[in-house]
Amino acid sequence: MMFRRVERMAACVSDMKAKKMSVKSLITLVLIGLMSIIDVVVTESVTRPRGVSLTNEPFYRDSQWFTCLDGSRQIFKSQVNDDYCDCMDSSDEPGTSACPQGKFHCNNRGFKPKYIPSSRVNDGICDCCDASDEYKGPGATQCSNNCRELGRADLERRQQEIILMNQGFDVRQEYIKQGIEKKAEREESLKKLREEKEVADQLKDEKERLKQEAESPEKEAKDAHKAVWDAQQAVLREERDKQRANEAFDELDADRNGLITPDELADHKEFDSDGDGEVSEEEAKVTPEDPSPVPSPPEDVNEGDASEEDLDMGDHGDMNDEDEEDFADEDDEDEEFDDDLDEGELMEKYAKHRADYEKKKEVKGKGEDGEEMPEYDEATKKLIEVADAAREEFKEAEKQVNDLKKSIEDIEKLMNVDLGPQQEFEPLQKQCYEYTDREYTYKLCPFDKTSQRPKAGGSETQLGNWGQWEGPDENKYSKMKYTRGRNCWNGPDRSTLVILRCGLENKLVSASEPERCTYEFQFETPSLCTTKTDVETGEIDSHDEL
Amino acid sequence: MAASCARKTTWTFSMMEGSLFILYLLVGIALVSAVDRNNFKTCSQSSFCKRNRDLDSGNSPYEALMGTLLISDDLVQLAVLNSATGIRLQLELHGLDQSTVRLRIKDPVNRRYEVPDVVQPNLQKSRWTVVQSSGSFEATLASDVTVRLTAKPLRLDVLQNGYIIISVNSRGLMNYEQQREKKSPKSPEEEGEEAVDEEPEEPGMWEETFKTHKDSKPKGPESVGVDFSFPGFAHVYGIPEHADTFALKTTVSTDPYRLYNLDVFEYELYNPMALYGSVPYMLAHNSERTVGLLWLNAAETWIDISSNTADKSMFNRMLDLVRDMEVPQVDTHWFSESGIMDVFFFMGPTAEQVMYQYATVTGMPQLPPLFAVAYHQSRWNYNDEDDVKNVDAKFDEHDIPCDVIWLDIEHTDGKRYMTWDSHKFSHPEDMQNQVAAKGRKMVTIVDPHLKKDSGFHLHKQAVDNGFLVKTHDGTDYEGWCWPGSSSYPDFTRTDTRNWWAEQLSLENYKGSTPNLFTWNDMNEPSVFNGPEVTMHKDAKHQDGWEHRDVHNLYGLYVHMATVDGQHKRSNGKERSFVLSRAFFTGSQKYGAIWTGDNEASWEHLKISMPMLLSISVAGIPFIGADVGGFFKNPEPELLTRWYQAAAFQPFFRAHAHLDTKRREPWLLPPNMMDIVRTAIRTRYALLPFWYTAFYKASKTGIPVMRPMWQGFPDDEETFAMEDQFMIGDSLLVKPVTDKGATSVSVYFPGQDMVWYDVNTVQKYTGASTQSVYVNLEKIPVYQRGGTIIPRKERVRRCSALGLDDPYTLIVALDTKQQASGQLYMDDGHSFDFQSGLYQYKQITFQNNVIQSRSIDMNGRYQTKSWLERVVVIGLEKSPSSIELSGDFISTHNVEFSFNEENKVLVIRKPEVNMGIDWVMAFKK
Repeated sequence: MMFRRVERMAACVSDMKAKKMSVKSLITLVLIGLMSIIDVVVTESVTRPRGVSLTNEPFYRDSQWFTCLDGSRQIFKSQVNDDYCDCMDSSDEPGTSACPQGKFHCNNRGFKPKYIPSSRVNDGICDCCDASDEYKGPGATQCSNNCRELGRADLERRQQEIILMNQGFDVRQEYIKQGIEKKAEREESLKKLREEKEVADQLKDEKERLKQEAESPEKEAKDAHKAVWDAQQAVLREERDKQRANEAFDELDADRNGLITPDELADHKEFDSDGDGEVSEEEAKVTPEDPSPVPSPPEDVNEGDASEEDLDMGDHGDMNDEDEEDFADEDDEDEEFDDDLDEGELMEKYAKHRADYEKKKEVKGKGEDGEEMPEYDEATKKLIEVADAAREEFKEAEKQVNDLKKSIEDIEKLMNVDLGPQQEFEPLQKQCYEYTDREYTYKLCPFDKTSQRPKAGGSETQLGNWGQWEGPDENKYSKMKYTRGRNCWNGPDRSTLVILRCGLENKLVSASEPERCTYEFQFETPSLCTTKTDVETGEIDSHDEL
Repeated sequence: MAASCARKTTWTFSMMEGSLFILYLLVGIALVSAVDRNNFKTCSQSSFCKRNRDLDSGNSPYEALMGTLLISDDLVQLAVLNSATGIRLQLELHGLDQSTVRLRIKDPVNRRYEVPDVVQPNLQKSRWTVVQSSGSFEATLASDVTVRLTAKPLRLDVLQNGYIIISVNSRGLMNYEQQREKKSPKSPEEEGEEAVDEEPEEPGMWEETFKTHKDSKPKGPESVGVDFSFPGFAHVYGIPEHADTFALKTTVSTDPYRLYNLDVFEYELYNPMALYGSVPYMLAHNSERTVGLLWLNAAETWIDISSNTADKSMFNRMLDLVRDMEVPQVDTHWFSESGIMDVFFFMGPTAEQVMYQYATVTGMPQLPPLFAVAYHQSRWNYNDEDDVKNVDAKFDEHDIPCDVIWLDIEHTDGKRYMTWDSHKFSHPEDMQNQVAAKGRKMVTIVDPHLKKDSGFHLHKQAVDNGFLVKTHDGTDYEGWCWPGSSSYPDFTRTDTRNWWAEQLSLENYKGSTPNLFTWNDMNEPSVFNGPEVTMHKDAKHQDGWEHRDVHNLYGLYVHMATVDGQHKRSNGKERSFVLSRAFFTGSQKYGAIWTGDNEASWEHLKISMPMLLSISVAGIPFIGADVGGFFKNPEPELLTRWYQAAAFQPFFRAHAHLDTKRREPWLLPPNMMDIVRTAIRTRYALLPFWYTAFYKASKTGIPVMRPMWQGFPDDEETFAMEDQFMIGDSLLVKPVTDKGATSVSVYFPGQDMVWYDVNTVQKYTGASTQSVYVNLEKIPVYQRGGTIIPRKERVRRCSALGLDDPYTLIVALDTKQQASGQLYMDDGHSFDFQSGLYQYKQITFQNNVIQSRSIDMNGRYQTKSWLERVVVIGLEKSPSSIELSGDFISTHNVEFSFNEENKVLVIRKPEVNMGIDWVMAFKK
């Protein structure tokens, strides 16, 4: 026994690293000769070594030699499954745990055959349903063969799956029909709308021309009217200035000699602009400053709607949402979210600015002594009336164009969404699906957004806006990604991954948050029931690649 | 896990200032990314620290009264007088076996806290031989350690072979603040009459306010401090926990190193601030010897360090070159807020002896169960049972070994520890059993704070039994932690600990199984709204002791009680596994420690090594840092490098903050996942080596992860080295800690020594520094020539499944063609080894014979494991045959192959059982 081992050692010809011994080459020659004979002799009766699949069986057929599957080395057949790893590619020990990368094949007759890492052989855990992986001597884990039961259960499960898939497939066909119809419908209405818009554009241009025509005589008449009024006012002002100057002169000309001297001015401290208590000659020459100009309000205030948007501080509201409540609870002395107060103050301030501004503007329209400009004459009024009517009509035409433009854009937006190669996801568009767990109601509005709201009440939090399909290349339509949800305090924007699978109806079946602010939804839909299988034969009748 | 409430940044938000909002946002981020220093005291904000630090060195007012000298065998005592105040103290010198001296200076009148439960009972005593002369005496132990006491001013020197190794109070900084009555404010006349011998009053002595927290200090000032000098030493180590260099730095221009267990949110690197744990133990090392000094005090402690070499200007250093070199010296100054002076000197003289001496006094480390030494997967939080099931399955799917899955605070019912969230974890036993079916374990977090809720059984029982810590005016102390308002059991009480231990029984801890283990977090203790995020110092523990007295010990007591509970639940049959964040001297007896809430950055990966080395040399071998970094998201390269580094650190756990992205190994890009899988599998292959190293630690106190100088004590190159280390005495590890690194510089110590790259068997000779090429796959690890390392090469899902697997021995020969190593084997989980069910083998290669023999003939463990392979590296010549003989086997030749190029011989399948003694002779 011992001696033979040594001899065998010497015959390890293919161990590239081994120091070759003198007898070796001779033995090799002999053995190669023998091998060719053995090849012929080997028959089907040779049993497969443990852990070898039927496909790989031919490589283990030789009764004397085994060549590592990567061809790197040749070893004695007795070294196969001898619980020592000889091959770099782990192929000599399919039935033991000796090799790090080995694969053990479970036949699992009655169920699915499978490979397990050979490191799981004889580790005390039953991995193969036929118990073939746990075989080692006394004290080994007792595994029972339950492949038949598993096989039966699996068959039942698969049959149910097929039934479900088939029913879903029918619904899906319906969806495809709907989707294609809808697409056509949209294309149709788009076409119609575009035509309508063309007409409306023309009408608008026409109305614009008419408006301009009506406005130019109107302007002339109004300007003329204003010019007369301005001239009257100018004369009036001149007279008044003169009178005021005389009064002032009289007051300053203390000695009534018709001349004002610096000495006379020195009595008037209002000219002491440097505040040194004296009115110098320089100071006497300077005319009093104009009253301060009206401060102009911040620009955006004039832009009406835009300012409203600016005031909506999208992000900060996030701090009050439920995720941060925990922290707020823990530490009430540090937290100060006084944005509500600021918002109030700010609104007040802007309102005041605006009111002041309007007031000033009104004042400007009035004449000296607050007199109103007299009414326009009848002819001018008539012109204004005509122009007003033209403006109104133009506005109407413009509105129509804008409405049409919006309708077109809406449809284009819908049509830009990838609803599947056959439009099978169309019926999901514009729908929303909810799932409620212990704390939240989650909502999926496909191709629009995802959200959650606390069951206990409170506002909805956006968990993502439609991003794109994100399944792997071979199954692109199995996952949806919703991104750019509400920002997480001190973190990323919320996002949602929706995992879809075939189901009889559209249903949101679960929602979770595997890591902060990253959500995962499971959604069932017939749109993903892509295969129709014959229940009897198990043959696939129809299969749609997505 | 963890982190205090400091995560919240105060925002003042004005909508007028849109740009300001962004600015605030940036400021907010900046604040969140670093420790808020304002939350923690500097020395000048701590009145006793300031008082002691302000002391001038010079003549000490303390003198020994030689007339009071009393000598009895192992104890020398005498009185010490403070000549300035007239107050007397009692000084004791205890002689201990193993070159150990204990110095105690007590207050004979006032009761002061003395640290209990840390010093091992029944220490072997050693007899003093005392020689007196006028004004001094010399007391000598059999081990040739001498203490020379000079009476006036008081000074002690610890000598060995005639050389002064440590001096006490040589700088005269001794300060023993006497407890006294608080003086009422005095009128100017009375002021004048004040006796001159009273200690001066300073602000902060009777009351101290930090931020909004008032410390009432009913006992007034009671700090103790003294200076220790180490002549002849330039390097000192230890006093963890600090995020600082391994070789301690001078504190001349910084605050002193602080020891005060604190929950520091996002701690800063390279400074002396206090962290989660405290071991007031320092080692000094030079090329001739190593010594250790334990300052046994559980109150807040600060340590100033100065050094005549480190603090010297460049000019003076140049002068030294010209003149005779001045003897280097490290001076240290230690002071604690209360308690007594209780100091141990461990005189070595070798590092191993110091470590053994220290462990003899403070307790040998626990031998952890095998699974605890393997890989742990944690996250705050695995959300529910499905999540756990999925993580468990993914490890198998990707064929990555894993032993333990962890659950952080979210698994509980509203942060009530030892309960389960009834929705997310509705079947905890089934879940654990399912995980355990593959040989794996689970860990749940159990923090010491109890949610204040009368419906919570633990809280109710603690209140009913009066087990809670009290405030200074006697009501139950309340603080904020994860559950909101919480109470804190007084773990310093034996009855509280016993009660706690019982709560961990399988009946009381509903939903627990024998495969569930424990994690104690927040046990500094963390109190979110307390001063410095911890408990008020004037809170009351048993016997009227203040929290001030026991603070640094609290976490150890939590750890101790939890370990006790695990032992009790199996009637003392099974070993425990409990991870703790807070620690103190002696925590090594209980289990593992980790470095708390680190961060996903290259800097934090780097600092893990000096931090772990510091804790290691302070006697706690089972330590680790969160793989990947707790806060923030590691880039894939960083995570990969972290796995590679941590696979070679003692406690190997990946963990992450709630706000981070998932980062389990299979979420890495495929090439990196492969690398991480290899790193984890390497850890598993080396488990026999790790386990043996932990066994040795449990017998000797010598750490598993060791500084380079420990093995090469006279190689000064290694004294400040902290980026490479040894595991045991065999493996040199130099983890890659730089982004995009393509090479690292490795120092191979030892003249005449050879080192082998464990992957390529490339040979390096010492003493030399080599630049080594590294790709992403490479972990630079080298086996020292002259060592034998046992491995298990079979890949299993977890360590338990490989218990009976065969061994491979890696024999790396030294220049004399010799090597030796050890292998320890037992069942991996029970205490049966204490009754002899173990095997401890010495394996040697000498004179062309490799043999394995039991070191300890008492070992009776029957293993099924056999010897699969022997790899001999560095063998000069191939033998013609190899003959195996041994107990119960007939002598026969074994197969082998020899590679002439790299000089590696592989013996194929000797198949001998590892339990028996055997010999393999290499024939010429």
